[in-house]
Order: sequence, then structure tokens, then C-alpha cells
Amino acid sequence: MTQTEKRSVFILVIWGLAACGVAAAFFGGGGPRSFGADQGRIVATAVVLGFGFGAFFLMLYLTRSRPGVTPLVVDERDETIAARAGVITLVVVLSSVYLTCIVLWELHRGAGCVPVGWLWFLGYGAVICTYLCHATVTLVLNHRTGGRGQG
Amino acid sequence: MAKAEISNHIRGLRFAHGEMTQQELADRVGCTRQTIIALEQGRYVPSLALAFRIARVFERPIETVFNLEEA
Repeated sequence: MTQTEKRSVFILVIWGLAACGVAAAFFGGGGPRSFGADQGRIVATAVVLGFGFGAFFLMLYLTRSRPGVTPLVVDERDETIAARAGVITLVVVLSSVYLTCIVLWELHRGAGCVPVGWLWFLGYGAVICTYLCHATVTLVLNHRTGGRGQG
Repeated sequence: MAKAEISNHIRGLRFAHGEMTQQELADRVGCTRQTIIALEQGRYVPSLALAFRIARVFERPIETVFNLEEA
């Protein structure tokens, strides 16, 4: 497994857990309507996101390449895959945010306003979705353009 | 423009060069073993620089290592 694949798997685990935590805090205990006024849940989601970033940067440090110590781990194929994954992720995240906004607008257009808690959901969701999507696409492209060969 | 595919003879050339391993070739051209595997399976088209480095390892002109196949 290359460094890129290892990191993608770790990212899926870290941000997958963060996504579960944010979803539990946002949709549980009164749901989105009361989220904006519930300080406890706001702090809880911030702590979850903090955990996500902390674990993410720790993982980057632990899986770093050390010239002369670790062999070459990233090459032009990895860079090509990363670039393609970036483009696909951009499209997916933009589409997701757009669709979420349209759905919220449709659901709340009669009331004339949207519960402010949804802004938190959009912000946190976009961050988490970006990491999860990039890691997933990277693993899929790695699988499609790679394989296990003999020595 | 017709779609073109790049095929190569890397696998055969490795064996012709003292059964060179994929890792050995990867180390000599500066890429990962996974990239050599992908090249041999025709799942990845290398950059021009990598193609030249591979051809140089086998001491052959680049066009005898890689083929352009017009579909």
C-alpha cells in the first residue's frame, strides 16, 4: 500500500468518525431547529471538528516521508490521481452544497426563513464531505490504475 | 482526432535484463513499484520524462519500449 492509499484510508476513518459525531450532535437533541440556540451542541460539534483536524494533522506527521529513511512513496501517478481527485471532489462538494441549499429553500420557502443551525450544517458538512470525497476518489482511482504485481 | 493508446514492452525487457524486479526498475527510474505495475498492465500512461528514463535503463530508443496505437 502506497503512502497515498494509507493516508486516504486514515482520512476515511478520521473524518467518517467526525461525520458521525457532527450528525449525532446536529440531528439529535431537538434537531436542526433548536441547534442554533443550544450552546452545548454547538460546542460539541466544534470539539468533534477539532478532533478531526487534530487527528488529521497527527496522521500526516506520522505518515510523512523522510528522505534517506523511507523509500520513495509519492510519484507522478500519485500526483495525477490527486489532481483528478481534486477536480472530482470540487464538483461533488459544489453540487452537494447547491442541492442542500435548494432543498432547504424549498422546505422553508413558506416560512420565509431557514433555521440558522443549517448554516452550521452546511459549513461543517462541506469540510467533512471534501475530505471524505477526496479520499474515496483517490482510493477508487488508485484501484483502477494500479494492481498487485509480482516482484 | 482518433483515440490513441500507449502500450509497452517493459515486462519483457525487465526479464531480458537479468530478470530485473519491478522494485529495482522503480528505484532506477524514480517512481513507485505500483506505477511500474500499472504501466505493465496498461492502466497508466507515463509522462514523457518517465518514459525516457525507462528507455534509458533498458538502453533502447523510446519507440522500441513504447508503442503508440491509433484506435
